[in-house]
Amino acid sequence: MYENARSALRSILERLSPPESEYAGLGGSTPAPHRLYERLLRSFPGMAYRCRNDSSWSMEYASHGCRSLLGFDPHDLVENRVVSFAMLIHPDDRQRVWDAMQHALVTDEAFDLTYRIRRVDGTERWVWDRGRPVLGPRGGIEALEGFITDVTDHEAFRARSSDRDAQFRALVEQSLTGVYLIRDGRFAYVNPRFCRIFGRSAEEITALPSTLELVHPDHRALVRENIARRIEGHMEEIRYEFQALAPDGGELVVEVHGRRIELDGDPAIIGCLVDVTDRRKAQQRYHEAQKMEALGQLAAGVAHDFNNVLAVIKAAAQLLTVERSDDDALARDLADIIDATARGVSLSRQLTRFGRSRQHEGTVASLSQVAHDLMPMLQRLVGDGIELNLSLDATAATATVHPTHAEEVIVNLVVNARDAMPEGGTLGIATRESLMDGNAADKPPRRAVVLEVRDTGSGIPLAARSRIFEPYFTTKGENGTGLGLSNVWRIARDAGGTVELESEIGKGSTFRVVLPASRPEATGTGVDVPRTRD
Amino acid sequence: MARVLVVDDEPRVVGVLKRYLERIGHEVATAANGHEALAAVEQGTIDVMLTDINMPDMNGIEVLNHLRQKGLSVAVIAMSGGGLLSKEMLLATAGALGAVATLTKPFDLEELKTTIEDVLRAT
Repeated sequence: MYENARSALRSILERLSPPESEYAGLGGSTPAPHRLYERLLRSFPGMAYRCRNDSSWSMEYASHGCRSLLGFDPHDLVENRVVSFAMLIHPDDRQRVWDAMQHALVTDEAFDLTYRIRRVDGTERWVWDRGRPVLGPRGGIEALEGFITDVTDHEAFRARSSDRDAQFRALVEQSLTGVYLIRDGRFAYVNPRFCRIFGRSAEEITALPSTLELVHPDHRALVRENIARRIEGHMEEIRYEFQALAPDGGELVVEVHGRRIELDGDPAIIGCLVDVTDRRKAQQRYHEAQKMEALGQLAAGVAHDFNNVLAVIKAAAQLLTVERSDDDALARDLADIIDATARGVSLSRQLTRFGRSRQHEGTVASLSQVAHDLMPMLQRLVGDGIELNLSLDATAATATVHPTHAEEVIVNLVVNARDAMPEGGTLGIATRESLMDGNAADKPPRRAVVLEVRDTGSGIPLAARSRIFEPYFTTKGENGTGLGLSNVWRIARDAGGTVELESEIGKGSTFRVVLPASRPEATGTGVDVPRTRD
Repeated sequence: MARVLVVDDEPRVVGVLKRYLERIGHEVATAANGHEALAAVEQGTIDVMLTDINMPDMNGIEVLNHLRQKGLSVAVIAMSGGGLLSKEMLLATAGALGAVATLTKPFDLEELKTTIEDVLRAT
């Protein structure tokens, strides 16, 4: 016991670095009565110790300061008779203390740590623990010796911890996710991002009688249950999504990731929250589009079969009308049948329209999408000898053109390109976004979308190039109508765009349709406008 | 009057059209798919081919492509009741590939009659 105290004291004196001369007679080689050490130790505001390097920090010696520091008698602590020192370290700090100690032992350095302990009365204090490893005769770690002081009220500690507080505050307050603390069913703290998501001030939010006030009524039961499950300890951590109340009454979907903590002995919940409304909406749009696509295919298939059935009924009825023109009663019945087929046609048309309505609604089209959708047909159109080469930019802007017209443009250009390569070759279809000159000299360039159809064919003679877009002009003899390219040109012009032609004899031709980009929709996904900061 | 080839994978459509065309004085051959249609045209005895576009095996678009490739000359009237692509689109494609006329199912027999007359007059 005495030796331990002496050794511990020597460590302390080395660590505490007062002028060595003052204490020269106490430590080191000069033996001194053990009472002197004990008295000296008693006068220190803290606890000198020697412990083993184990997970309990089993004490071999603890000075009397143990009583005021921890509220335990040294006898209780030594050899873990009543409590191990590790148990007195705040649970959140235990790992950190262990890691720091092991690091010090590996590097044979003195340690210097601040952490929280819990006294016998349950109060929490900050302590400063300084010491060093003691090496045994063979070089192994024999023990740790040090001195622990309560620094909770110490001015220097407060300054340090307020520095650290400032760091943590910045971390939380400037966080790009919403951060919150729930106590007693109310928000005890919310960070600025949280406030921005809900469009309310921190004062308003913390004044709410319940956290559920921010939750959409349909989802309150779910959120209430999830909070209760954590508070009651059924679940430590949780991550889920729910609909919240947006400041403008609109849709707001948030994802929370929260966990239960203990704060001053009471359960509480900390968590972060992200606004996932846009992500959710995009997913919904995608699913909706997929559903409509499937329904559209179904409707189109049904309409096709239905039209065939109607064709048979109508033709047979008409045939009978001709064959039995002498039978008036039959003629009336047949007229009813023919009339009914007309209604059937109307139904089938509605069905087809329904199938296409979502994809091709309005007069805005994505040339990339249209080209992509036409692929199976284009493949058949060009036949085997020609390789189709697609390079479609799915993110390119839409153009103000009816999808049917966009289809017509692509089909006509592809047929043209195919006919330019009777011996086969490569046919390239590309879309991309670009800029086109404003329609007046002082206007800035506008965003545009470009559709390019390239062939590796014979090329177009110079004389033909200037006339190629004229109606009824054709180089295909009886095989051409002379309307294909003129239609392309007309459609491009109607959409506010142009058609350019590049051609080289023997190398091939490129037709380039340049259409101005349609204005992005309000909910456009292409341009993400950052929110303004508070 | 004329030798008409009716091509459709739906036998009832073929049946009723054959009856009608024969009644108004045409000689009618039939085919249930593109392969049969090409074989019939290759015999050189067809003036007008009335073909459906949506058919399994070889569809109307492919028939038109083969006719071009083989240099076979026959007046083609394409008919369609739609499908994955709109009737308009299919028929526009058929037009681009050389079909001289198009009919949207279900059509009036009178319309079929005048279309064939127009086609015969033009060729």
